[in-house]
Amino acid sequence: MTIQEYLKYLECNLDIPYPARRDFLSEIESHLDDFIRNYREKGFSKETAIEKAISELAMNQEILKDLDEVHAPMVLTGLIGTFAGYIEAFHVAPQLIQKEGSFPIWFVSEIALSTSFVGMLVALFTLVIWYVLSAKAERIEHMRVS
Amino acid sequence: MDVENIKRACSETLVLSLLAEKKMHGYDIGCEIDARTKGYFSLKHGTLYPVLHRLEADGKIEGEWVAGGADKPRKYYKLTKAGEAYREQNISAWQNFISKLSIFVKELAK
Repeated sequence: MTIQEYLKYLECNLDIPYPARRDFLSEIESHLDDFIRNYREKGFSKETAIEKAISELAMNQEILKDLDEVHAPMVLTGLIGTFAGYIEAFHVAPQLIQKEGSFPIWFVSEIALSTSFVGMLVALFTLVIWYVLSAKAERIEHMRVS
Repeated sequence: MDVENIKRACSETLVLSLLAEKKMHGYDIGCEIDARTKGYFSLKHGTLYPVLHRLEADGKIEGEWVAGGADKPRKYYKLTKAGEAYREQNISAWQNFISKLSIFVKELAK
């Protein structure tokens, strides 16, 4: 098994939100690199060093389940962030563009609250809608003036 | 200290005590525990991660990514103020636990 295959196996067996999952896998990758370097310095072949590193790490199902539990509140926050993003995009944004300057504050708060990748995407989508609607409102105003 | 879960409490105390000295990453923590206890607490390194992530989520420790030149970036952990207080509370709870257990064992040996 290569390091990348092992990381893929971990990724498939983890149920934690995207940013935390990516960070965790990077953390494990650097941990494995240290193990491998250590075994290589002791004279082991690359293949054996990888095998020993994975065995020493011993990331079993019980540990992965423990990690899922630790990150469970983040999943909940992510879902709340996603829901808040949805409400903003389709219900609050069209009203807020009437009050100049208030919407970006909502957007930043949304980003701060969103811990999930989906929540982030919805927040970005919200910003796009706000931008498009603002531009449209400006054009209408310009047409009225002229 | 979570005496209901001795294994987890033990790992937490070991991790917090090491981080009280200096910031460290996962691999260092695992090796240091092994070296300092002469293999008595020879943990499988993977078991450290739920402990580290739980302490981080509770605000007891703080993770920071540090670029290591040619090496890949590593996540270093350091103790927070809340973590320091928690560590002291943990050590005191362990001392109490050991003393109570020791009294109990001595009584039985009589």
